[in-house]
Amino acid sequence: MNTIASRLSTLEAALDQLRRGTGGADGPRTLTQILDLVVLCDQEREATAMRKVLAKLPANRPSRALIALAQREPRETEAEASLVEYAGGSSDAPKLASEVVQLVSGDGGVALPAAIAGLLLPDLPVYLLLRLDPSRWPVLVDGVWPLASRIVVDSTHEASALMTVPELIARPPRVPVTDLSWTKLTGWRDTVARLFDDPRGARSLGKLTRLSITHVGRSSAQARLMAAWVSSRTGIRPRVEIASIARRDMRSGSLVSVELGCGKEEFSVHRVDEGVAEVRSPNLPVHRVRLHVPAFAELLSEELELTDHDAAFEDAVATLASGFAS
Amino acid sequence: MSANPLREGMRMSLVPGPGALVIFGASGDLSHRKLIPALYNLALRNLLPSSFQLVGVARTDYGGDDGYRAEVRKAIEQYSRTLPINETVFETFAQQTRYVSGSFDDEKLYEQLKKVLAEGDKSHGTAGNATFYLATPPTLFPLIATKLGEHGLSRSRAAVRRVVIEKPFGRDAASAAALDTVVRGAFKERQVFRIDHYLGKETVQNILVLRFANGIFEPVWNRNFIDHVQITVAESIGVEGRGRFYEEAGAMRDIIQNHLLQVLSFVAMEPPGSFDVESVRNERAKVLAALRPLTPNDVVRGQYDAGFGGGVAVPAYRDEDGVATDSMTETYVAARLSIDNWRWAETPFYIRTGKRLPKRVTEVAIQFKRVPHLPFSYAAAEQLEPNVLVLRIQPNEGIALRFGTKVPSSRTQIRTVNMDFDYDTAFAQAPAEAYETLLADAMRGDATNFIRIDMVEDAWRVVDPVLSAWTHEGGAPHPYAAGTWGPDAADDLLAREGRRWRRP
Repeated sequence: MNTIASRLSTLEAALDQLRRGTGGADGPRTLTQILDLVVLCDQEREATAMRKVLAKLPANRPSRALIALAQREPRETEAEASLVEYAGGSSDAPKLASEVVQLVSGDGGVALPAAIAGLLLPDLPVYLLLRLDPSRWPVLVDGVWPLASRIVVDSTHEASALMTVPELIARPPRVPVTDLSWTKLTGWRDTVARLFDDPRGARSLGKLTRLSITHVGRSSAQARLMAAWVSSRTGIRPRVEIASIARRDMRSGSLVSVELGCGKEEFSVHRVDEGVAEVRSPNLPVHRVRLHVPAFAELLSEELELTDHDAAFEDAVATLASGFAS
Repeated sequence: MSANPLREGMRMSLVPGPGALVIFGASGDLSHRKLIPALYNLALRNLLPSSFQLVGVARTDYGGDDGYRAEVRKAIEQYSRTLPINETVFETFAQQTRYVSGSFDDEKLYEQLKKVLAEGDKSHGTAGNATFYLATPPTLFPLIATKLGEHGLSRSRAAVRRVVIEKPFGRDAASAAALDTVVRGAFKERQVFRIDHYLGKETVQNILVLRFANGIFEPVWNRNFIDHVQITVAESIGVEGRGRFYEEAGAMRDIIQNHLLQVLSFVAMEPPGSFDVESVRNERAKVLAALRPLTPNDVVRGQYDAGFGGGVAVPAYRDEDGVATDSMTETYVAARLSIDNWRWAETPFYIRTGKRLPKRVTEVAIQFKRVPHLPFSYAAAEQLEPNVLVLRIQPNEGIALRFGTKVPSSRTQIRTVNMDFDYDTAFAQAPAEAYETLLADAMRGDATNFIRIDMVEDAWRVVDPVLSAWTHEGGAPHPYAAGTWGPDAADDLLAREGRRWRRP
C-alpha cells in the first residue's frame, strides 16, 4: 500500500498521483464506483484495523473511505492518502482500488465534519460506520450525521450501542440504521426460519412458549436481538432464557444455540463446529447445515450493499426497547 | 398462523417453499454439467429449502441411491463454479437425494417415483410439492408428460406440481403446437415453465433495470432517436462433438428462434405496469407478436469453412464428426427484423449468430441517429461516429456508451470515445449461473423469466417461413472462413441500407 502524508489542501492531488500510478505503483488504477464510507473512531488501533478490513472487503468496496480518528487533546488535522488494491475477478480485469484517507484531528474532532464534507465524492451514497460511542463525541457525530445515507454500528463491539440504537433510529434527520450484531445473525435467523417453512412447522410456531438462547462471553447483544426478532415477527412474547458460556474458540457474543419450545414440540439449532450447525425438528430428520457467521469484513460488506431501512431490525429493536428480553 | 412469519423481512434471497425437484434425464450431460452443480450451489448459498428432496430419474442403473449420490458428487467436482466441495453442505444435499431408474415408457417407473415422493414428504417435509424437470432429449417430452398425467403426478389438490421443459420447444410452429397439446393434457399452462437459460443471465435481466429504472434512456428508446439495433450472439467454438445434434438444429433453431428473439423482446418491450409475472411476460409477448415474419430476402445463412480459431487451424463444418459431407445446415445466420408497432416502425433490428467467429461475445448495440445539424467543420467532425449504447451480456458484462468529445488541442477536433461501465469493477462479485437463478425461480413458481406458449408460437411464426423456404426451395449457405465475422453476404445485408455491422 503506497501512502502519501498530506495537508488537506493538497490531498486530492496526492490521491490523483496514487490513482495514476505515479506514487510508486505499477500503473493506473480503476476506482470502484458505488459508495463513500466514513469511519469514525477514537482509538488509533481501531483506525489501523479498519484499513486492514478495507483491504479484505469481498464486495461493495468504497470508492473513497475516510477513516476519521478523533482525539481529545489539541492537535491540527492531519491527513494521509493511500490506495487499497483488490485483485480483479479475472486476469485481464482492470486493477481495482479504493482511495483511503486517514484523518486525525484533536479538540474532540470538531474540525472533522467539515474535512469529511469536503472530501466526499459527489453523489455517491455515504455509509457511516461508528466505531466509537456516539454519546461521547456529540459534536463530531452531530456534524457528520447529516452527510450519511446509512449508519452502521456494532453493538457487540460497543457495550452501550444496543441501548443507543433506538435513539439513533429516531434521531433526525432519520437515516437507516443497522447493527453488525444483527448482520451476524443473518445465517442464524435463516436457519431458525427454515424450521417453520413447512405447514406443520408454521402451525407449531403459533404455539411458541419458550425461547432459550446460549451465547459466548459477556455481550448478549446478538442473543437479545435474536429473541426480539422471533417475538416481533410472531407477535408472541415467549418466556426467554438467555445463558452465557465461555468458549475460547468463538468470538464474544456469538450464538451457540437457539431452542424454541412450541407446546410439546422442540425445535433447535445448535452450533456443532465452525460454520456447521445441527438442526432438530419434529418434522425433519436431524441434519447438519452450513451456518456461516461471516468475519467482520464480510459483515461490513453486506451492510454496504443496502441503502434502505431494515424493517425487521427496527421492529426487533423496538421490541427490545419495550422491555422484552432485558 | 399458516405461512411462516419468520420469513417476513428476511434479507436473504427468496428461498423456495418445501418441495421436491425431479430431474428426468438425470444421467445426461445437461444434468451433470448444469443442473446438479446449480442445485449444489443453491444449497451452498442457503437457497434450497430445508424441506427439499432431489430425485434423479434415468435409464442408467447406478445401483440405487448411493450410486447416484456418487455420480452427483462427481458432477459437482467436475463442473461446480465453487470448489472444493463443502462437506457439510454436500452431506445434507446427498441425504436429500434419491434415484429412480427405469425406462421412461415403463409404468413401474412412475409408480416407483410416486412412492419416493411420498416417502420424501414424510422424511423431508416436502408437503407433496414437486417440480419435474425434463432434461431428456426433446423426443421424450410428450411421453414423460403423458405418463406423469396418467399416473396422477401432474396435479394434486393439496400440493403444487410444475414441469420445466428445456428448449427446443418443437422444431417449427406445428410441432410446437402438437407438443403443447400433449403437455397441456397433463399440466395447465400456469404449471409449465419453458426454460431458456439466457433469460437467467444477470445482464439480460439488467436490460429491464437499465431501461425502466433510469429516467434518461426510455425517452430516447424509440424510432425517433434510434437508427437501428444490432444483437450479436457469437461463439468462437465449433460444434464440439455435437455434430449429429447440430445437423438437426442449425443456428436458426438453436439460437435465433429462442435466445436471440427472447433477448430482443427485452430490448423492445413497452414498460410494464408492474413487475409481476404476467405484466412482464405480456409486454414481451406483444413484441414477439409484432415481429414481421422473416422472408429469405431478410436472412443470410452461412456455414463455416476451414480456418483458424484461437490461433490453430480448425476444420470446416462439413469435416466435423457427425456432420454430412454435403450438409446444408447453417452455422451462421444474420437477419433483418422489423417490429410493426409505433415505437419501432422502420427501425430495423439486425441480429446475427454464428459458430467459429473470432470471439465469444453476446451484446446488444443500440445505435442512435446522428444529430440533425452539426455546427462543426467537416474536418473537425470527420472521425465522429453515431452514439452507440452497448449492453454487453457476456463476457465482460457491462454497459458502454460511445460519444463524441473534443480532442485536447487549440483547434476543434472531435473523436468518439467509450464511457465504460464494468460489472466486475463496480461490484466485484461473480454473478450466479443462469441455471441457479432459473431453478430457484421455477421451484418458487416465479415464471417471469420463462417462456409462455404464445411467445413460443410467435417466435416460430417469425422464423418458420425461412426454414420452410430453405427446406423446399434449396439453395446453400454462404461459406465463411472459420475465425472471420461471417460471410460477405451478411455485410451486404446492412450495406444495402447504408449501415454496417459493429465489430464487437
